[in-house]
Amino acid sequence: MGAFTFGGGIVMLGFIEKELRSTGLIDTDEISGMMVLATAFPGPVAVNMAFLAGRRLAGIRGAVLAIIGTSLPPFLTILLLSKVLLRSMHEPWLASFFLGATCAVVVIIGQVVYGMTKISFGRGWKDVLTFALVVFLLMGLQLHPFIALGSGLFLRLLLGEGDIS
Amino acid sequence: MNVLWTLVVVFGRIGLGAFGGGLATIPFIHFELVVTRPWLSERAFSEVVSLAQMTPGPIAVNAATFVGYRLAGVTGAIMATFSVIAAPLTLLLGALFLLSKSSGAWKKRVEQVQRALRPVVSGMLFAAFWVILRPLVHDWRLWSLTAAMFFLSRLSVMSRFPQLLLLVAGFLGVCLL
Repeated sequence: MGAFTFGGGIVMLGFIEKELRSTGLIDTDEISGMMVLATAFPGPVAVNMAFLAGRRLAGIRGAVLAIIGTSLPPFLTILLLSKVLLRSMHEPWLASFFLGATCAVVVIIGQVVYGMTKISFGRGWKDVLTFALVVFLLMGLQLHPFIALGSGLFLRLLLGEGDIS
Repeated sequence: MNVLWTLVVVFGRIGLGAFGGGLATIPFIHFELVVTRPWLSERAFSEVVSLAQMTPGPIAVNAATFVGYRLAGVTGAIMATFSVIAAPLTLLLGALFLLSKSSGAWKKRVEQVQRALRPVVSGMLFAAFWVILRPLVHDWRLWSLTAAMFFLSRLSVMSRFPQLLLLVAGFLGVCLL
C-alpha cells in the first residue's frame, strides 16, 4: 500500500500511467486495460484509476486509500483557498486576476478541443455527425448534458461498429 | 429541500456525467450550477474553472469542494466532494461485478463504448470551450490577452506547467484590466 503515496497533483492520465509503470507492480497490458475502463465509465479519471489500481494491488483497503490519496490534496487545497477567496471575492484586483486567468483557460481548452477533435474525427462522417449532434443538443437546444451525451453515444454506436475498430 | 441533500444529489449527478476527463465535465457543472440553479453566476463559474486549473485535482472535485463550502461550510464541502466521487464509483463497482460474472466479450464491448465516446466527448469539450469563451467576447482587451496567451503557450515551459500560464495571465489581468 506504500505504493500509493503519490497523492498530490495528479492531473493528467499520462502522468498516472508513468507513475504506475515506474512502481513496476502492474504490467503494461493491465494498465492500459484499466485506462480503458477508467475512461469508458463516468467519474473523474484520476479517481477511477486510483480505485482500479488500488483494488488490484491491495484489495478494497487499497482502493479506499488510493482514492483518499487522490482526492484529499485537492480537497484541502480548495478548502483553504475558498476561505480566503470568499472573503476577498469583491476586491477588484482579484476579479481582474481571474478575468485574466480565464483568457489562459480559453487557450488551454481550445488546445484540448483541437487535439481531441483531431483524434476523434479519424473515422470520417460518422464521428463528425455525432459531434454535430452533441453540440446542437447542448448549445442549440440547451438540453441537459445527459441527454446530449446519451443521444451522442447511442447514435455513434448505432452508426456501425464495423467502422469503429 | 435541505441544502446538504441537494448538494449530494447535484454533485452525484455531475460525477455520473463526468465522462472523458476533466474539461468535458464543464457543461454538466455549468448546467447544474449556473443554468438551473442560482448557485454560481457566470463570472463565479469561470473563476471556479480557473481556480480548478491552477490547483491539483479533477475539476469536478474542485468545483464540488468550492461550491459545497460556499453553500454549507465545511460539512457542505465534504458532502459534495464525497458525492461527486462516490456516485460514479458505485457505478464502476457494479459494472466490475457484472463484468467478472460474464466472461469473454465484455472487454471488447467496453472498448467499443470508449471509442464511441470520443466524438461525444469532443462535442462536450466544444460546448465547454464556448461556455468559457462567451463572457469574454464583448471586450477587445480580453481578446488581445487571449491571443497573447496563445503565443505564450507555444513555449515549451508553458506546455509543461500550464499553471504558470494561468498565473501570468492573471497577473497581466491585474495590471491591464
